[in-house]
Amino acid sequence: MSTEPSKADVPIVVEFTGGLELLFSNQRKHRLLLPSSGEKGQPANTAFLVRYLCENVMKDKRKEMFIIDGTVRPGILVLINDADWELEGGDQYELKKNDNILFVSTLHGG
Amino acid sequence: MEEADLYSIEGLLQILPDLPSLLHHVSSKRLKMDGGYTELDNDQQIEQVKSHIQTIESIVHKLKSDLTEMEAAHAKGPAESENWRQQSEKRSKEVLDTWMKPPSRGESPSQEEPNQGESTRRLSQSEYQKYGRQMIMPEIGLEGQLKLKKAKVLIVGLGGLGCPAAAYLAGAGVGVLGLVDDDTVSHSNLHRQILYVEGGVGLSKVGRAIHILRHMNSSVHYEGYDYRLTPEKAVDLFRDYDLILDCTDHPTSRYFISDAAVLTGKPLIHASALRTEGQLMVLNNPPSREGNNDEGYCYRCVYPKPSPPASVVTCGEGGILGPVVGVMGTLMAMEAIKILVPTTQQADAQVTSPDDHQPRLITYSAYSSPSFRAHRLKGKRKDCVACSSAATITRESLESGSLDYVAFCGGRVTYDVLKDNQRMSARQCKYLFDHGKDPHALVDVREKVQFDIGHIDGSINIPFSDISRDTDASMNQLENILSSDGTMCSGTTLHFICRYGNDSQLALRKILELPRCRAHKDMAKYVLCHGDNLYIIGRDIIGGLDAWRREVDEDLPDY
Ligand SMILES: [Zn+2]
Repeated sequence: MSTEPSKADVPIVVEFTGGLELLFSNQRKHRLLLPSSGEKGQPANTAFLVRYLCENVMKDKRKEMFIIDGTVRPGILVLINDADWELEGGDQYELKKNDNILFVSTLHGG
Repeated sequence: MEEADLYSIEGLLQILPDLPSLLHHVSSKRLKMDGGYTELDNDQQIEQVKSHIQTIESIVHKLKSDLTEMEAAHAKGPAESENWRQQSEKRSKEVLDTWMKPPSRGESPSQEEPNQGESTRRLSQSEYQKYGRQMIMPEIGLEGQLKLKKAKVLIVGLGGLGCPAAAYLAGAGVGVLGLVDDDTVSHSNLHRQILYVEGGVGLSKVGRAIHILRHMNSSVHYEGYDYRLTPEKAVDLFRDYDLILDCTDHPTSRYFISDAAVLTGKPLIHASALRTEGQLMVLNNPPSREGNNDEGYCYRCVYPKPSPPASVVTCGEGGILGPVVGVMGTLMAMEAIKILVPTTQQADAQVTSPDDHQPRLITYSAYSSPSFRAHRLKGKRKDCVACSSAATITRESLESGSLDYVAFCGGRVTYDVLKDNQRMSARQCKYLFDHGKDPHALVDVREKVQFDIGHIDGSINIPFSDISRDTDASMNQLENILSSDGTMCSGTTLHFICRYGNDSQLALRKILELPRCRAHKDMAKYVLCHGDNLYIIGRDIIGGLDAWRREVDEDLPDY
């Protein structure tokens, strides 16, 4: 997270549930200022967000519990403003101000 | 007298009319058992015989007290005797009237009253009384109740989800309730699996569940399947039902239950719970392959690929709060009622909007705000291997066992990650601590909340989650604790223990992988270097604290 928010940073809320919060300092809700573009000027889409979370927010070293082959691992649903990200363009969805991105790990217990 | 009162009305009503046939039934079962024949609901039969004996004893008890009163009255002369007789008759009549009331008669489905003569009743009087409160809801009504009565619902898994779901569906008066589980009741189930009591521990869940459900509502026909459901059996079983509830607890069963529901065209209510959270989806509704192929979606549409096995956590490992899974099981029962009794136009206008048919994932998170959320899902995948027009999964592939669901889900995580000489028994470890001349330390890698429940005296808690997150930092933490304790100086041998002997192996392996952990030539051992200090990597305790409790100290909490 950048310490000096630039005007172009995108304020978003990222939430983790279904046990994923354990990988993110046991904190379910994170308010982030996402840089408006990636390292190489790529757009701030969800693919970038996933990488950004992995590199900047996730303290846990078990990266494979969150991403596999460059995207979220199987068994995790990504919901953009409470809708399946596949309804919104998947990892190409460009994040907007005040978006809520929820990562849900599927549960199996009963 | 309290006992006699309890049984004289409730117990006698249920038992008396069926007593001769029941006794006959039980004795013929006994014969079969003696011949080595095992019956599905033995436990239940035994329980029933016990309760019959209790009932009969309470009848005898009541008769005896009547006799005492009678004798006393007679002894006081004719006037008192007549007075007692009249009072007794009145009392008996009251009791009999209560017994003869309709709710106590014709409770089994086979005795339901036909719709004929001057009566326009379509349910028995006892059913009107039992279901009245839900029948006056516009969402149900008489027609809805009749639909419920015709419905056959199958619950797979009688754990924290299955118990409340079964209780509410039995209460709602479904016609047939099928229950599948191969498990027996254990003490660790009781905080959330509400159909079981302490006295049922060790007995079949199916047997115990049907026993209590019959007491709740004897009008429902219960079918028990006291086995583990497999892909091979699922299709045949599902065909006999209208609706399936997946209350199981493993990815493997989640997938094949969804596949079998799609293949048999049955709607599927899917829920799961862990720790403080639950999830629910209504799948295959309306069923695919019934002309209308776009709406219903299946588990594979949502999760085409299974979670990696390492990320799958069970309630035994992760924990579960009773009300959390209870909420989810209760929601499943409600969704079942909604599917079995589609709302009429009139009620529809009040309670639903067009958006309601959007595929949804309902999540419940007890400690979040808001706790309940509904997320819009994509729904059917055009290329779904189970439910799309491009489906490749067939009945044959399920029934032949050619689909290996265990392998698909990544198999089981095996924990034999260490060599034999890196492990030792709890007893060996205890011996080392008592008699070894070099200093030894025992590192307990369970989470702190478990460590606080109970631990071995002198053991040090470094949680496995810390070790996984950052092994190096967790070893620094350990070193700080050791060096602050004068006796745990450099040269201490470190042994590792967890709850069952799985995480401790993984922890030990992670530590061995640290760059500063290396083989020491002279000692022929691995040592962990920390500045000038050396710590010797000892062993993992086979079977963990569970084994320690059995082999060394039975006072350790068995949680
Ligand atoms: Zn599907």
